[in-house]
Amino acid sequence: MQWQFTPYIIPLVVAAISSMALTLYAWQRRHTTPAATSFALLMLAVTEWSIGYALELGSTDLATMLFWARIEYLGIVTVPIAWLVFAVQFSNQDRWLTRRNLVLLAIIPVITLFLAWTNEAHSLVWTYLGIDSSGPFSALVTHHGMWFWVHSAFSYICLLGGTILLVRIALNFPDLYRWQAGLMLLAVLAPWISNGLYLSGLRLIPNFDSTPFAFTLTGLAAGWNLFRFRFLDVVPVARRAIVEGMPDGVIVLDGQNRIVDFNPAAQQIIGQPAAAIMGQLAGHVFALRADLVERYRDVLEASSEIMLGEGEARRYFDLRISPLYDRHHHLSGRLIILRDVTKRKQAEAALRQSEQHFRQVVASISDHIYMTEVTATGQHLNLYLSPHIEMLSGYPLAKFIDDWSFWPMVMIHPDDRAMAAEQAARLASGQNSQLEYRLVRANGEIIWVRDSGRAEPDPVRQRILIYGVVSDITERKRTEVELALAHDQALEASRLKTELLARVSHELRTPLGAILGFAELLEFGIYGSLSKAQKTAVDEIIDSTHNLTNLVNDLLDQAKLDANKLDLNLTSFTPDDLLNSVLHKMEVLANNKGLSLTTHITADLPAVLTGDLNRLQQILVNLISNAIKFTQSGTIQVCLHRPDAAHWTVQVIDTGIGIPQEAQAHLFEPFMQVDGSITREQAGTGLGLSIVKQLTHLMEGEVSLKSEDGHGSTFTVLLPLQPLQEEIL
Amino acid sequence: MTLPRAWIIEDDPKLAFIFAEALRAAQFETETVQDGRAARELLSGPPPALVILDLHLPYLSGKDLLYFIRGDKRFAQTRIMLTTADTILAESLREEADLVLLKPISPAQLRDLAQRLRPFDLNLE
Repeated sequence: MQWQFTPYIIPLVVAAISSMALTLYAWQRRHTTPAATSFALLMLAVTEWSIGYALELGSTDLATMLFWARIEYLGIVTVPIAWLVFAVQFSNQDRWLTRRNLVLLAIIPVITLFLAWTNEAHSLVWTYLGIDSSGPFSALVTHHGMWFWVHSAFSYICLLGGTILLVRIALNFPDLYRWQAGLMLLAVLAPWISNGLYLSGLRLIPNFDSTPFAFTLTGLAAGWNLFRFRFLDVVPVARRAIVEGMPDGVIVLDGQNRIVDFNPAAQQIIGQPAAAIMGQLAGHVFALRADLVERYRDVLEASSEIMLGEGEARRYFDLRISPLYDRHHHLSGRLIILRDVTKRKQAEAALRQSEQHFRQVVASISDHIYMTEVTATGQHLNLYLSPHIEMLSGYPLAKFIDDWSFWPMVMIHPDDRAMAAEQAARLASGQNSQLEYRLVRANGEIIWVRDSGRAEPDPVRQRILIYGVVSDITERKRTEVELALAHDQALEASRLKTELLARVSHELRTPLGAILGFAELLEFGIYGSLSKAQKTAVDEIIDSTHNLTNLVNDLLDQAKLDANKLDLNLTSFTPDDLLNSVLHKMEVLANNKGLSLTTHITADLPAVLTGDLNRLQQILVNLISNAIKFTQSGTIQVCLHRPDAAHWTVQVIDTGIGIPQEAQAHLFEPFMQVDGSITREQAGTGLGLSIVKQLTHLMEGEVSLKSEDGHGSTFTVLLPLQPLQEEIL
Repeated sequence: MTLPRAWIIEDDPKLAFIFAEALRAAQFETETVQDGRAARELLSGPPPALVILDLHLPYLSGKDLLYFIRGDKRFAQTRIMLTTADTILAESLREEADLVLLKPISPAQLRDLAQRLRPFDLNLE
């Protein structure tokens, strides 16, 4: 075996080293860069080819040359398919790279390799092998056999397929990557130029095949793009990631409505294995929805909502169809995007349901509900009006929807509009407001409403939202008016009663004076001396007159108390002032019944007290006369105490019949008598204790009773100790 | 012996009669008029020791007569007893009169009170 050196080996060595470096470089990045594996394989094949070719060129004898040429064939047959696989991977058409397709691709190269090594038996690859030493170096000269052309044709098809894919990508690069695109085109076209030159016989250097060299250039340019600019990995990966990872189903149809591409989301929507989808007619894949297929068969562009599946599995999709054009602007197919909008549809349905509920709630309440927007410019817009406004107003809803001012300018009673405008202004300034005003209904009827508005400023959109409720309060207003009238009437009746009582008592006093006067004159003996019976009769007249006078006085006091017209006349007095005149008057009555009347004043009682002396005496008289009436024997004691620093008390204690527990509660009410059977004997006005109680309350005191049936009674009037009245006196 | 004089100014003749009897019992010489105008005429005469004055009178009210009498020095020694059926009016004039009697008035009580008001010197006469 002899070796020769020729400088043409140098570029091949350079190519081998370069492509080897690219092989290793790509291999190291096979996990991070898609298409790196096929690129590494391509470069490895180029390396092998270059090394084989370099060794072929270095050989001088035919056997050695042929050996290396056969070695080269491993690279030669590998390069086209590696190229194609790289292009397919690079253009993200990985799904074509099925095991079956790869095996099919490898058939011809494997046969070629086998035939190259067994050429002596059949000459299918080479028909002639010789050495040409006419050039700058001894070169293997071959005439090609029949299989060589099969191999060549196959290689060119692979090369062409890969080139088309890559050129298409390069042309579609965004403008930003124009530089890379140019480099890419160069990388793709270099082997063509080189191989074209070789095959055409227009060789710069005789017997020198520059193809491996060209592929090295391709490798360098592609490698530069692949790893240096990284765009090859970023862009396709990004694109693939986007399309593959898209939740939207993407389907590409060719001109014959065959499915030529789809992403996993689309596969999931279709629900069939990829093999059953790829390359199939859309009408076949979507056979269940023939209606849709029919509807969109020739539609180039569409956007609509469709429904797929039945029952629980029913899903809603936004369907978008857009036409796809090739580089020459010829329609090449259609892109279908299916966006699952089931969730949105469900949300919409839930929203509709919720709104339906809201409407039902609104419809079920008798109030009118509104929502108004006040814009930054102060304009009022109706955002919502409940249909109840029709019942309230008698006008159709439309009247109000388009014209906010219909309510304030037509509905509201003219006399209440100014007031309502103030409310509207308050709400528009962001304050809550409540107002009662009148409305004039369509039929002219006037109704009262309460308009309660809540203002919610929306600073982001510079507006104020007003949420309001309008309630019909006509009935309430009517009741209020009736109540007010009834109240006025009651007051008037009470006033009349007081006036009547005052007048009656006034008018009664004059005839009473005559009765009393003449009776007493009879008693004087002015009309002659009286028999005992006559004197008794006259005494009865006088007694009855006193009773009647007391009744008149009590009625008048009661009337004054009822009308809050009784004013206290505060003075300062000594305990003696209070007791003496009363005792003087009452002693006679007590003694007449054989009762003793005693008084007891405790030492701690102030020497001077303050109060309405006349009214206190009246209280005392009422209590003592009450005690006398209900006591048959024993004593009546009047005590003045000071139970604590702030109070003093007047107590009237008797040894009478007592008052049963059940009667005590009502004893201080007007015209109450403990027992009807004794009222005649102990006749009173029935107002005494009631007046005591009311006078005591007027004096900010309390009257209480302690009594046991048959064991006497104790009435206690507890009064606040007033400051001395010197300044009043 | 000259009895002290008392005017009874009362529009109700029955009451006027009763008051007159009561005052007579108290040793007064009485003169009765039944309206304000007649009472006004009396004022030009010699002042009495006692006036029983009803507040409710025709033509001229008892209240006006009261102020009239109180405003005349000649009546400085004259005692005035007001009689009325009106408790509120009675209350308001308590300070102006020597006594205020609320109707019905007991003649016995009137007699006793009048006796207490009799001028001491006249009492001696």
